Amino acid sequence: MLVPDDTIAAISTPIGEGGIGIVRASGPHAIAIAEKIFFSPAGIRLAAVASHTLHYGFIVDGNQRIDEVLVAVMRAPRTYTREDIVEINCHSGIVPLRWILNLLLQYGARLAEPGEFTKRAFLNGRINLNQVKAVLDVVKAKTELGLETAISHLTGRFSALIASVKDELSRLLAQIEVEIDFPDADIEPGSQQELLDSLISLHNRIEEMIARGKEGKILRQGLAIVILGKTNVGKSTLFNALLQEERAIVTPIPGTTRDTLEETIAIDGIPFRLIDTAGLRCSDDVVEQAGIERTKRAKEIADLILFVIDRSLPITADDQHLAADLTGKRVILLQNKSDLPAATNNIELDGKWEKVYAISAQNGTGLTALKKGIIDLCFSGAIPERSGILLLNTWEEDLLRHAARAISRAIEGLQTGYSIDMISEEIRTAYLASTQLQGIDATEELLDRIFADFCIGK
Amino acid sequence: MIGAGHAGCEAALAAARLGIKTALLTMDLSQTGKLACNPSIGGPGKSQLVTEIDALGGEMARITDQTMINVRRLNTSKGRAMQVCRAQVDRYRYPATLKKVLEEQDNLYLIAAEVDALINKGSRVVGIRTTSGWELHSQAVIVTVGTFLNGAICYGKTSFPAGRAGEPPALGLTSSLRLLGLKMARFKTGTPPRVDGRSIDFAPLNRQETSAVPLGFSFTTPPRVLSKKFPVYLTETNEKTHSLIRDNLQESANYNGLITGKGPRYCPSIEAKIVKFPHRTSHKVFLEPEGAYSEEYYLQGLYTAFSHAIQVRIVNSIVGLERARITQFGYNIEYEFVDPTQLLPSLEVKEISHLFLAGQINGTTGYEEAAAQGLIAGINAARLISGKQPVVLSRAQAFIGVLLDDLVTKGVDEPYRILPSRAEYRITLREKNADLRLAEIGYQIGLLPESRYEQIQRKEAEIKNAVRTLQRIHISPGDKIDDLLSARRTTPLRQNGSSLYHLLQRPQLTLADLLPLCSLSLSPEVAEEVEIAVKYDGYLQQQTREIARLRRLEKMVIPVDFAWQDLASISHEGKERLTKVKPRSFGQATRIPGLSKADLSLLAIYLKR
Repeated sequence: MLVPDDTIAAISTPIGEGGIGIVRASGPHAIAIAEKIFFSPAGIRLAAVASHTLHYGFIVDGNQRIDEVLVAVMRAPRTYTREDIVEINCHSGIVPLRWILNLLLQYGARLAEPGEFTKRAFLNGRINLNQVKAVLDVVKAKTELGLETAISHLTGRFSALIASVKDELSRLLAQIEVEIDFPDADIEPGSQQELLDSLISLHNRIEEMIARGKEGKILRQGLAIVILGKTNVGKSTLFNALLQEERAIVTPIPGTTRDTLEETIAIDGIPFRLIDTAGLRCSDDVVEQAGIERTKRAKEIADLILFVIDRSLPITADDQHLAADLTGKRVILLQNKSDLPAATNNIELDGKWEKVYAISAQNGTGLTALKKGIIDLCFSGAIPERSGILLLNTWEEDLLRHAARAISRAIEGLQTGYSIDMISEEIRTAYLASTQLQGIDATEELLDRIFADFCIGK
Repeated sequence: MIGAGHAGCEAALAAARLGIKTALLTMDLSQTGKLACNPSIGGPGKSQLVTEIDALGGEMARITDQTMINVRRLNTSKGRAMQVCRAQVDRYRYPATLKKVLEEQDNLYLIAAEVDALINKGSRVVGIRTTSGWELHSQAVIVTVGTFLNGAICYGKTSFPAGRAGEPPALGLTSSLRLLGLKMARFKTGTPPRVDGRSIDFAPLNRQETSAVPLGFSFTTPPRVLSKKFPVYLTETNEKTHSLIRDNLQESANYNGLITGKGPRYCPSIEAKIVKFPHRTSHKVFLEPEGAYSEEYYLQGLYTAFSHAIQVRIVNSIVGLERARITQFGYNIEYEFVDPTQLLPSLEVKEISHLFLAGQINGTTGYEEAAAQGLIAGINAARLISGKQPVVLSRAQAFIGVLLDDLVTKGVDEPYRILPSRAEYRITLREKNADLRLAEIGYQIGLLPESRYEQIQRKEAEIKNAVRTLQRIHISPGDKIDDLLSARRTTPLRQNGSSLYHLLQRPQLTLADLLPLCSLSLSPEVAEEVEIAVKYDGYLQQQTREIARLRRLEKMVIPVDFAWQDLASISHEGKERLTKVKPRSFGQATRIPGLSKADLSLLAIYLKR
């Protein structure tokens, strides 16, 4: 339910441009919400600090430090919106920015619509209409909108999933409601067992969505792209080339084992974990063991493999050996060193490739095409088959959890023998959560469903 | 008061009882309180309206109790919160009894006259003029004319102006309302044929007997067991009926283009059922008795606008009705209604003061929906005259609140019927606790006598005491309780025992099981409330929390003269929707379909300014 005096939050600097990003919150609870995710080594409490002051500390998610930040606290009315404002200055990569925004949403802020800060400023009498227009133009061109567009493809996937969950809930609820609303109507009574089975499978689906969101691959870490290949084919050059082009995000990924080289990059605003594996050499026993282990692990977590060969030299047994081991994975074959003359014999390599590119990591040829290919695979659904990209903001995750809890109470209730009016309350709760996620009028939708599916009218 | 249907009668009684001199004008006094459709009152959602009307001091429940001939409890297998009564009432005794009450009411004058126009002074209504030219001046006017606005009856290929079967429409009034600037649209609704009971073969039909358990609607009359003289019979259509309908669709006003208005989805014609659900091989038909003064049976489920020749063949294709003689043919009626978003939640017209609308004219269907609106309009007209604030029930207080809020906030795009699924807080808004929910309001309004109010307060105290007792009494494992628990196949008590309260929360146990373990003696009404209070505790608490949130939003009142046009920065679409409804509170604004969160929060900032 909407709270009238809500606090809004958004990323208010362009993603990936410059070293510093700002996440801003405005509204009566802005300071209290920021307090919940801010840790000050000096023991400073934001609620107690003077207005218009800057404070050093960390943004934390539970026990985990997300980023080193400077937090500006500005109290109403001497602020842009004439409301309390908190600005969190952090590293500008998409990962920390989204994560911090997510935390603010989790603790009660609502995602601001494009230009909403400015609208508030206007409404609160801070700026005049002409100023509003000027600001909105800039805002639209640069930030909030740009970020959302990059991500809208992915939210489309979430909408489709949520729509299917909502449809199923509405089907189940309609069956119950129609029997309550029209007890004498000509209706095949629903079976308790079928209801139970459907609820269990629905519960699993939602839990899986939450788990995917929690994995937060795309949000927090990005999909894992693993660079594989034998030694000296140009893997590290490719790694560095991609990093340079996309400006590596400095935040190290917590908990990652450092036996492979890993950095996070953003392509078109979408974060990816780029993992470089050391090349394999077949002769050295010890290194080979370590190498095999490494490769195995990297392959396990890979959402996409960039398999690199040197096109200036003939295919070797090492290449073939490695390629044979890639079955079941999404692989892009990169024929590197296009700046050199191609080998003339023995250049065929068997394997199932999503795409094949001739590139030169050395001088950057073909990298644009490669990146476009990666994004295409990502949006076409080819890559995330295993992990499933779910871009859940925390509000969405909360609603999903709310729905999952209600469904599990319904399941428990059915198994314990609670009456259907109680069960329907739980399913209704879950259904309302799913309609909230879609932003539609639940009652009307449900009635439409009832009248479409059942022959009513005694 | 114009119109003596279910809305008009409740409105007139409420106003007169509140001390206002009230005239009730109707074309034909013998049609007062007529049951124009099926002779049935109550059912899911509707029954809650009836008991709420009773709790507020209205009449419908008492008249129903006095004149019902068959009553059943519905939804008994679906838990306790959704159980409701539905009664067949005597089609002739119901209106006669109601008319007697009207006649005996002080301050109330029944007048047979057709109103031709409303008299207004600017944006205020000051009286009415009849077709004879007689003018009657008043401080408020309530219009409750049902389907009479530009009404037209249609069946087969025939169509003619009418208010109801055999009665003329109110044409003058329609144009008068339009002249005042009210926006109107067309709906349709239908009735089925009725047949002579002596021509029905009852032998092959299933019977629905009246309840063997005492039942009733009003809190002031004791529940009764009725005589078994009037069962409802059940039959069904068959393939023959269906092919007859399919082959002759052009003979139905519903399918040959004669009717353009939108009808209710929950009351489809038999032809619509066949077209929409082609895989169904039969549809139920209920034969409803009409009471002691009639041999007629109402064929519930057979709404139709077929020509009379086809209606005869349809009826005769059905088991039990092979030789049935139709006494009254089914028909559809198209009528105009006023877009209810033009009303305040008090049912006064926003742009024209001292004019109230209630009942089917606001786009609803059903006697109960009409009566509920009539009661509220009558109360609020009386309060307006007495200089008091209007009474507005919230969605959290009553189904009446849900009904009125839906009407004035969302509007209607089909004839509106109340349904349990429309009520967010329906576990809280039960049929049998309407007295507990509304007694205080009814008493403050002045329609509920003090003695009744005190009686209900005592009942409330008794319920609370009983719940406390159940919480207090602790049961340790022992033979008696162990036997009960194993007989009910529920888990035995742990070593440290349990309170009776927690035991009662187990779905396998009832209050009756546990009463021997304590010294409580409770009336059936109190026992039911106690049991629900314990078993539904979690759900009730959750709804209480949601209601508290709702109340906070409803408290943000929007002034009547709020400058909607000046709402800069709210999206164009948002402004349009807000301007149409002109919500009276922020809470109401949140329920307007299609408003974005950003627009709402901007509105909130405006309101605070």
